[in-house]
Amino acid sequence: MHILLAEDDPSVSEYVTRGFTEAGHVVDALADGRQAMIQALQGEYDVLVLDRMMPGMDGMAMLKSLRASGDRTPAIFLTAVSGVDDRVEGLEAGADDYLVKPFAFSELLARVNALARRPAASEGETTRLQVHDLELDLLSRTARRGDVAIELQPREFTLLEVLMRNAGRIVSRTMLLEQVWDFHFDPKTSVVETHVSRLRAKIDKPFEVALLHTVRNLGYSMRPPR
Amino acid sequence: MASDAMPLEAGAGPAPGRTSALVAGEGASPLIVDRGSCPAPCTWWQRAARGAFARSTLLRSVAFRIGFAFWLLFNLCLAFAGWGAYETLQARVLMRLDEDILERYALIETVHAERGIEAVEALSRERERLPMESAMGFALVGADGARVAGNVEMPPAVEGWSVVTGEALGVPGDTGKYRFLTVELDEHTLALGKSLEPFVEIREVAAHCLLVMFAASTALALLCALWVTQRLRRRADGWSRALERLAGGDLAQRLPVSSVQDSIDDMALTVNAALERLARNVDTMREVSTNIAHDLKTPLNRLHIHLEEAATEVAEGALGTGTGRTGEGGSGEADGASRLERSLEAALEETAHVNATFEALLRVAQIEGGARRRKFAHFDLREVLSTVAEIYEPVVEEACQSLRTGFDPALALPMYGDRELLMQLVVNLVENAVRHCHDGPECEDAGTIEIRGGQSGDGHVWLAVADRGPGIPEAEREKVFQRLYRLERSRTTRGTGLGLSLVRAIAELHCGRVELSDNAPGLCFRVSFDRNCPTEGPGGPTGARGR
Repeated sequence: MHILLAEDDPSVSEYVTRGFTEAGHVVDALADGRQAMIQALQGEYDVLVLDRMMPGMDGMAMLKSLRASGDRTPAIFLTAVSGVDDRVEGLEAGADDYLVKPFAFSELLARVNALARRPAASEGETTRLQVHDLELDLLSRTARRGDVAIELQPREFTLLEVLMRNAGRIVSRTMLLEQVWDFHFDPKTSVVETHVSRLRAKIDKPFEVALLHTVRNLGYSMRPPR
Repeated sequence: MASDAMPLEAGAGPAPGRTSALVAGEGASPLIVDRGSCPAPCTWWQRAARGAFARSTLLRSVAFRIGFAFWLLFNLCLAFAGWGAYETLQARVLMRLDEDILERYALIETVHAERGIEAVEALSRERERLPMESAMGFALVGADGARVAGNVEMPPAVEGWSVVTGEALGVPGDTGKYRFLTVELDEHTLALGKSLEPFVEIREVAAHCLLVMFAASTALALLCALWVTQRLRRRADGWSRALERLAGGDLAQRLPVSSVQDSIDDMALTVNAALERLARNVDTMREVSTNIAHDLKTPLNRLHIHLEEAATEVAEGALGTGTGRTGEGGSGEADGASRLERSLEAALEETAHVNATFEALLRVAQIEGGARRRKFAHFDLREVLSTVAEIYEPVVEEACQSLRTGFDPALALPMYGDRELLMQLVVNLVENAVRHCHDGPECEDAGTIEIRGGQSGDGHVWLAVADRGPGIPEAEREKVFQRLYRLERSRTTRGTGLGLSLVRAIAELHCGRVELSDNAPGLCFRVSFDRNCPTEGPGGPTGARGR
């Protein structure tokens, strides 16, 4: 994947660049908003990772001009400002996701992976998701594993859907909170853990092969057995 | 001049901008005009002039200006009314005068018609004895132009009505005016006239009256202005003294409020309410910064210890492989590596905790700032309650409690506000209940958590979260809303101590009130929202609470 990183803090920039490179992506890192804007208009990027506050041009203005010029490259904001207003403003400016500093690199990687996959998903509206023998019908909102139909509550279904759409990738706890429960704050109790364990009891426990895996300190991942 | 309406300025020092403007308006001597822009080394008279003007608080005082304006207005009215009365009186007197003359003329005409011009002549001669000034002037001039009879030496030659002076009529030194009617009568000319003296008298009386009234009103206005100025200045002095102390840092100082309850007192009350809030904010701020310092020092200290441990592990590992001290071989190394990992993980956890605390603090500050009001919309609070109940039911069960809902699922609870924040408010209350009611590893029924909601008779929408936990002592109930406050017994549990501060901040943003009551046993948080919540303006929650 070709990623444009616009970030003026050298230590963050280096940390992120190293992480993406290790994950097998190509990163162009720039510290100036205006240069990053020119680069984004010229280059073919899969994902833009933008800092909100930068010299030259701030990330918000940069993304607004990019979107105005018709550029639809998925973009994610990195910011030290964590107010909900800022998040909404960022999304309104045309960002596809938003990540508050300090962040774990794994979280950023998970989100960037999810973003890069998004256009493909929206092109051919999938109505069925499948991981190994677990099938999810998005139209009838039913799940089955092999021949066994699985009863799911509406929110359990959404949870499973998010996990399966990102099959093979790590979905972080925060991503689940936002996408499944619409929580834009960090609950102090184990909401995610509890719901995931309930889901696991339905889709994994009765079967021989486990598909839903906990990735310690990072999140969850849905993947077929190797 | 609108800005001058501030009574505060009456007692304040020289205001160069304003004085020069006043002086320019007066078109005074260049000596005074210079005053405003006078550089530091002024001559003594410039300084004296400035000082005198600065001290002449009477002239600059609002009360005086208002008094002057009213005085001017009053006198204008008086002059207008006086003029009207005078004109009417004058017209009346003139009419009476003319009527007298016409009456006499009618009499003479009757005499003439009955007995001829000779009778009129005889009558005129008889008249000659009476002076023209007090009685009626009378003159009969023959066809040849010579005076035949009468008490007027030189009757006016003009036909009809005329006004002439006594001198013109032949009385030397008489400057008084006379009104005359001159008529042709049987080839003779008859002139009848009367002195206008009563007329002048009326004018004098009117002028005198006006003068006395003017003097009285001026004196009265001046006295009133002086009295009000004096009163206002006393109050302004009270204000300045209080404000000076405030500026000096004494936030306990309040503006004086008199018993009259006028608009100035209203202003003082408003300012005092603002000061009250400010003082409370400053207190909170002081307390918060101390608490933050304390609460962040603890995890930072632990972080330091974990990192130090990790550094020691690394150093020992390097030392161990370097000197070949580890006789046990690989098992010791693996042990060291796992210890290193544990220390680093603990360090990460500490940084996460510090971050969470900062995050929550910023959020509370942002919500208290009222910036989120822009995102307000209409939504159904019942839907928020049931969503939270649905999400948290498994979590509550995990904590060996049960969750019950106490609201009508068919009844909508209309709210105007920020749905996301209300969601967080309910979540925080439920999480608070879950965390503080479940202690100990053994899973026995720890009780029921209930989420209630409804609409009271007067339209207030309310929600409540009740638990069966250990509760909070009465004396500490108010303190739980303070930032970073934690009950002594919950010091050991993980948490930022900001959850309930956030609850209160969100409630107040929506003009809501959070009440804590005994659920016997347990605790009940009830949040009721004001239906008439001001939806615009940053001062919303403050205003609602000030009432």
